[in-house]
Amino acid sequence: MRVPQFSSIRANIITVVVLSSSLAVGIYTMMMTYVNTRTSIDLLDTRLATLADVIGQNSTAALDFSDRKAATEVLGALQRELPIVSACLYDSRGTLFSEYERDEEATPCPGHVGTGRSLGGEHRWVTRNIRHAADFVGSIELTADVRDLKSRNYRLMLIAIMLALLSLAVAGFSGALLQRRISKPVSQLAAAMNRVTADGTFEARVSVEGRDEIAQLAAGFNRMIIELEHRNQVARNAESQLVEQARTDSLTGLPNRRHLVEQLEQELKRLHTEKWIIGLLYIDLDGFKLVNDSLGHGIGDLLLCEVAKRLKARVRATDTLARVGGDEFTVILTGLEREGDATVAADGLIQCLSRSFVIEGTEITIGASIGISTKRPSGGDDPDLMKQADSAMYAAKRSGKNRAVFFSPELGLMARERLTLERELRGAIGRGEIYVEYQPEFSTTTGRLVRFEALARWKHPHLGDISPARFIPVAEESGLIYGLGEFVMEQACRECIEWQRMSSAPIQVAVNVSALQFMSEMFVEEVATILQRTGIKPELLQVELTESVMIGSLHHSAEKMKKLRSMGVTLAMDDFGTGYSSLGYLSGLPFSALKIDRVFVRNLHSGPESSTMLRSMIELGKKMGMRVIVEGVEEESQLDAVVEMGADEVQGYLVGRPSSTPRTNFAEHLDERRKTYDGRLSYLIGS
Amino acid sequence: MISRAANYERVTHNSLWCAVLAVTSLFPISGSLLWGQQDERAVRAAFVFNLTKYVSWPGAHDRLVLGVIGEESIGPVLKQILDGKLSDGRRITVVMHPMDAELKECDLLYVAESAPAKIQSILDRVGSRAVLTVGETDQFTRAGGMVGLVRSGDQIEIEVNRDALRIHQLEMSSRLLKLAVIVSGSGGMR
Repeated sequence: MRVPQFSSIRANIITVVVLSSSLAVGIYTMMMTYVNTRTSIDLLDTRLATLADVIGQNSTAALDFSDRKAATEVLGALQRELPIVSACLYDSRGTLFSEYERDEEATPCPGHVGTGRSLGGEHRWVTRNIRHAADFVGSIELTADVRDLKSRNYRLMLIAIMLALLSLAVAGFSGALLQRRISKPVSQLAAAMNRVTADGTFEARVSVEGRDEIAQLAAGFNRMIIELEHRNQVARNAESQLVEQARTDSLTGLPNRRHLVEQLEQELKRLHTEKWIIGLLYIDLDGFKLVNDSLGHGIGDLLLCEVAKRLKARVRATDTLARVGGDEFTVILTGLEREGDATVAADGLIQCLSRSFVIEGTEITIGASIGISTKRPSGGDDPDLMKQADSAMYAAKRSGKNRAVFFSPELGLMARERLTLERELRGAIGRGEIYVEYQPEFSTTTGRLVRFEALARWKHPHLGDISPARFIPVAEESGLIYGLGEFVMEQACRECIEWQRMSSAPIQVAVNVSALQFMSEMFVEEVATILQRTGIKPELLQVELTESVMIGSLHHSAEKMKKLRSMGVTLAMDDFGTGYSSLGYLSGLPFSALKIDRVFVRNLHSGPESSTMLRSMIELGKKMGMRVIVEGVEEESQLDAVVEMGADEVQGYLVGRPSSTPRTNFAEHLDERRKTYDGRLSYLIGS
Repeated sequence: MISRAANYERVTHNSLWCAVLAVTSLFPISGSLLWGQQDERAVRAAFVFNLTKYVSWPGAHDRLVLGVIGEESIGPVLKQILDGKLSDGRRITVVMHPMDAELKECDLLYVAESAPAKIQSILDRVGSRAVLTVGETDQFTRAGGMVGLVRSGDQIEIEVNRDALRIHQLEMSSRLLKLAVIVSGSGGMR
């Protein structure tokens, strides 16, 4: 592109210079030739007349005295005048007196003056009268040819053409000089422009000296480049700022997922040269959703900032801490010697988050579930560390939360299974795959059936029975728990009304409520709606909550529980002894019943310590004014033991398995007329 | 005077016939003249007339007095042809056989004598006055006459004595001198 443009300018300049100069020279030559010819002819005519007069005067004596010889001699002088072809001297009567001819080619003079002769266009002639002392003595006719004139003109034209060629050469040379002066700086400019556009560098400068337009253009170009460089710098700064922003989480100021992925890639590359292990911790906060839902997003955001601060303070400077999602954080650990170091680091993080936070005066407790994945230098193919850590984190959630789980290949399978379950669960209620089973609870003092606990069941057409332990976490993680919980509670309430018709004594129904469900702003309202819709007496509904309601704001939970209590609903603490179990806040919550987890009954045979622990828990509950219900009673010895320890109510396979048709299966317990006491219980009481 | 011979030769090949033609063209009246002797006299008259145009006299003149001396019959011819004619603005008056008093008035004296003694006598009469003396023989110029119109075959040659011209304060045009045979000799004046 550059070179033809350059040569075009050069060609243009030279062409213009040469053309204009040759045109000027051509016009000049033509004009000169014309003018010269005209002038020469005029001069010739004048000269002819003068010559005729001079010769005539010199001939007067010869004419006067009839001296032909003298006349011929006088005419002979014309030999020195080359253009003169012939001279004819006539006497006073017009008769040829004497003549002169230059050569044989000359046309001879006519015998008498005025007699025409053909002379052709190549000749000029003049006829002059000769007078002497006022007397007419004769006439003379001179003829000249213009051959000499023409040859002189040809010579002149030749010289002009040579001059034209010379001036063309000079013009071409000066044109080339001019071209160099003009197009060289232009080509420099073009080259500089090329450097700027091709290389993107702004170091190109053009140096053209002088004060002409080209120099001004070059100076302007340089200023433009400097301006461009400046603007480019500004744009780059802005860009790097944007890149920084794009790599940073705006809330916590930590690196975001994008940054983390880049960092992880770099660390994996470094692993080719370094001999250490890298670990990836995938942290998901337990109960953050509850905080967000119950206390609002403002508090949630502040909590996240505090969490970020604590985590930041805990990890090493060489580690990379990032926020990769709502309440998800990730840490890249580098330079590990063993995989176990990652577990140690994860435990440390859990510990640092277990202390309660105080956000705007509200004390908030959360936990963290951490998934761990690691990579050795000789690890072969690069595994997807993020995916592995994510799977491990879900495993941690499912296995009770607030813990760290190391990734194993089985977890990968579990993660896939979880996805399948979630997909299937989404339409399960609509397809009627979810149903409720009821497990009876008996009073140890009266032996009467006092309550059924409603248990959600899922019978999938292909996967078969899916245990609540598998699908409840999935429902909680996917948010399906709200619909599921509402469905179960309404079913249970309708069933409960049927029981009252068969029994003279009131039979309660116990419904498990997930912490997520309980934390929902709408929960109390939903319960009220169900009570109203089913027409059940509030006293017949016992809402069972796990210790996880204590995550988040205890105060907030207490307020909500009080509202339920004021409506007449009974509240029981479920699975007591397995969760966070801070006895400190148990007294602050308006529970009316305490359900001791089945694990304590199961462990009764293992030793006296277990027995003591169970007895203490029963006594603790009773002393706090709560009914104590013992779950998981499967053997008679266990029943005997818990009755002896003072448990108010019992539940377990021994006294009644869950049934989807309780009215049929437990008809004798419901029908007052058929049986007042359960035989087995009566027996126990009796003994 | 080596050049004289060349000059002489040049003039001699003028033909009398041509001169006659020239004169008759100049003077249509000469057509009435007789042929033969009269033709030569007419030519001489024409030559005389033409001579007056090639000679300048000292002082201003509005007329030109032409005296004729001699026994020859040229006198009447000159009188007939030239009397009253204008030569370069000067009226010509022909005076036949002028007396001494008349001779004083003459500007040109035509001497039609061939005898040297008579010629010398006439020239003596003229003295040193500015009178152009014209004769007919080759002795005339050698005797101190100024211009000789000498018959040579059928031609008339012009002989000029430049010394005589100079002595009498007369000037002759170089154009005529080119045609003439220059001779020297002062005659009685010597």
